[in-house]
Amino acid sequence: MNATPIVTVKDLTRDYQQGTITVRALRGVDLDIATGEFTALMGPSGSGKTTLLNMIGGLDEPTSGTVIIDGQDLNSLDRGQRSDLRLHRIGFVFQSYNLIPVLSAVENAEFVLMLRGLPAAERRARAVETLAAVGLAGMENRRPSELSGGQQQRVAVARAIASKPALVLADEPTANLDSKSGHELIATMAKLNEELGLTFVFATHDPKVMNAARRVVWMEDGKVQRDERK
Amino acid sequence: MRLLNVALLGLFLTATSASAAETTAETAASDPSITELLDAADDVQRGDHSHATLEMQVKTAHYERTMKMETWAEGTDKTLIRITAPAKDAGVSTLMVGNNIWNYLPKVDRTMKVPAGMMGGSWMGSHFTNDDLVKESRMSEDFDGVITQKPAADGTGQWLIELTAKPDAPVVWGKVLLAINIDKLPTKIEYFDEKGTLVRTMLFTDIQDVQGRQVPMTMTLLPADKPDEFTRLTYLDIDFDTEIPSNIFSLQALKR
Amino acid sequence: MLLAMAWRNLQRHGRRTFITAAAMGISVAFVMAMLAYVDGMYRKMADVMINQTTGQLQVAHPDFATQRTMYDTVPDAAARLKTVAALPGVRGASARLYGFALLGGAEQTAGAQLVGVLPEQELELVPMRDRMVSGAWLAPDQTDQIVLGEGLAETLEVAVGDQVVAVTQAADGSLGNALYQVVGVLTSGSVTLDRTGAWLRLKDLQTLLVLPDQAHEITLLSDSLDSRAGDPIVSALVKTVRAALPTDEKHPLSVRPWWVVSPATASMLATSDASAWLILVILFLVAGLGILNTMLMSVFERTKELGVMKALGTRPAKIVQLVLWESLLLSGLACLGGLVLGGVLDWMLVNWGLALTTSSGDRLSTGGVLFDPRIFGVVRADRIVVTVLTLLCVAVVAALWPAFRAARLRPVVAMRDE
Repeated sequence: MNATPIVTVKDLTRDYQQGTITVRALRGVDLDIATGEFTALMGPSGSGKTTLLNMIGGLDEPTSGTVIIDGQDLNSLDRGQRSDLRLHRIGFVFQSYNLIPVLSAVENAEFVLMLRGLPAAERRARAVETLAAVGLAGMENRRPSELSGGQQQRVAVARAIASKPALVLADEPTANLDSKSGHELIATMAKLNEELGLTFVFATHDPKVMNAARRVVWMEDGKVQRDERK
Repeated sequence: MRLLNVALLGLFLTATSASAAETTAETAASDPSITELLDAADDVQRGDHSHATLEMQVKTAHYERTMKMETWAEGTDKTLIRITAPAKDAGVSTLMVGNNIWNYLPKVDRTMKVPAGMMGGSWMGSHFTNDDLVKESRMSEDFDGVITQKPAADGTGQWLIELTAKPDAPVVWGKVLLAINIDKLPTKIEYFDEKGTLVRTMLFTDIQDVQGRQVPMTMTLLPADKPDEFTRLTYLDIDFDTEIPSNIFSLQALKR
Repeated sequence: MLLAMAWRNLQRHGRRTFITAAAMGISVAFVMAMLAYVDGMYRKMADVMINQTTGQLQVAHPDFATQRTMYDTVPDAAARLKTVAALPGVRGASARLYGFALLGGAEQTAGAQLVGVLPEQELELVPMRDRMVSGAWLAPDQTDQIVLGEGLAETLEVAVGDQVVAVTQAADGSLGNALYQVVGVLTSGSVTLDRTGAWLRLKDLQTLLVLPDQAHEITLLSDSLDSRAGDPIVSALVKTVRAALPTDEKHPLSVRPWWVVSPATASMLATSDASAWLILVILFLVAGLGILNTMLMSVFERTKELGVMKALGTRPAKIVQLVLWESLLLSGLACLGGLVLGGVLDWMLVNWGLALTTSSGDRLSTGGVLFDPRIFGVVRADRIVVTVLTLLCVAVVAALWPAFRAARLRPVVAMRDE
């Protein structure tokens, strides 16, 4: 794949204060992710994979070290700028129940486009198209509560990719799904990766994701243990 | 003192009998007490009857008028005044018995008692109030007096007496300055309020001998705050020896 | 889309939204009704204390208002009245002469404040006919009639048909006295006047007081319905009247608006206006707390959702907007309901009136002025607009804190919220 990394993480550490105890969630992580990669961050709970994902997404600030997204050092950005960076460069898929419950499937899918200020008709068309791409054609007007867990996560994926981000970050996207739905969701994302060249980074401990991923970064105790490419 | 009464009835003459005038020299020499002087100024003719005609001239900023009236009096308690001129007011009568005043109005043929709340009002448009007509106060009882000046041994000059109201005395004046001549007749009385401001001055002038008594025939009231105004009473005729039917001081007779 | 989201968020907790909106709507309705009532009372007070007492403007001797001496009169009153009554913008004009006299019935006497009036013109200013307790108002063509205040008639122990004597010191120093026929007894609207007031024809009082063709006041009404000091319509009319009545040193005249004639009335009426604002403040404080509570709860419940929105890149300003939209929609809804309910209440107040009596059943009295207890509401568009705008402002202000709280949420922390 391409040599220019979309994500560059250098010597990243993150400490949390829990009362008087300092918990070291990340202890010096170095990681490059190239455009078009389909990467899974694997590891047990507390290994730091979610923290790392949040760092990459600019949702959390490192104690030390740097994260560079698409050439921009997140440390040099203020909150508003990081918010804009997320809006324009990154798509997010969280664990389930992350849709906006008062919005229909298509409205959720176009939410990010709305924030970006796209005209209503254009964003609606793109949202419908994207929903179709994740296999939800005909369900545009359903509310999240009228959708199954798997369908909700597909809407979340549609929302993440509708804006054609440079990077999609997914935190345990299959955690609350049954096996079949999980498989289908992973297949959908893999297909999007292949067809559209979207870059995906997962934080997961789901073997199904690991199997689908072409790069698996194993984490333990806040450090990268192994970095496997298939 | 019954201010207007005093004037109307010529009561200053009570203490100034003919004999008093004759003994002036001795009196001056033997220094009468202050009480004696005040009572002389105050006292009425103890059962005396009088009948008089007067003229009352009133000058205010807004009008100047002259009225004629006829009065009958018995002691200090009973007085009847009847207006005889001008025509507009002729027949209007005022009866005073004790502290009460009634007015009879011939035009409407009605007698009206002056209510308590209106006793401070003007009587007949003059500078006298209704209260002045009837309010009784004895200077020797209600005031503490000091003789500040005495007539000279040669009979010239006069007594000057400064009176200060006793703390609880029911009087409206705070201070009164009296000038009393050698015949024990007041010639000038100045009235001051509690703050010591001159309120009005009474002048007694034109002293004449009437039926053996010394009588100031003219009394002038000068309100201190209105220098151009005055009320002047002048006796046209006065008779101390007349018989007065006792029923004249009644409401029935008032209407006559 | 934000607006749609706000709207749907409100629907999410329909009952809570309804209760909050209902409370606010009732507040709006209540405020509307209170304001209509207060304005009705205000109008009535203004009517009694201005129109019926001093008039909206007065032509008088410059010293009369303060000295109230008999001699400070307007000379050639009839001619002057005619001049000013013909001026444009004069809705009513009358002349009055005042005097103090001793009145006597068959047995009793009492001091009385005599008011000499032009019987017909006076009716343009004061609804005397509505105030008659017995008998009738003065007939313009009959002489020597008198109408007594209720309390005075009682003191004098006279009734309609009886005669009373008036005695007074006339302007020329003479003892003015006359006999009048009692034709009516009225309740004047003023506690003091009820006890001491007596009305007779201007001409009769001029005769009694020997003040031929003189009056103490020429009293005027303008087209203004306002009762605030500095009212431009009245001020303009003052200038017109001044120009129409040249004065000379011998006959000085002042033309004054009611608030100069009676500053006490002006300050009392200003107080009642202030009380209207107090009502507004108190009720909207309550409404504001309601909104604050509702919006805080709503934001708390949606912490996770708001975290997700922020994570997706929603700018804080958009979050603030969303919360404010919700609050505004909620209040807008409340306003609509409140306007409907308030409209009904206002309609009832305007058409039926509301009679408030004191516990003893006496009539209302403010500053010595008695009122007919039945107050008819006065609906003022500006009051309603201010009420609605105030509520909407309160909605925004009260929602600011929850909104900024929501906007400041840190996505990572917020999304962990369960």
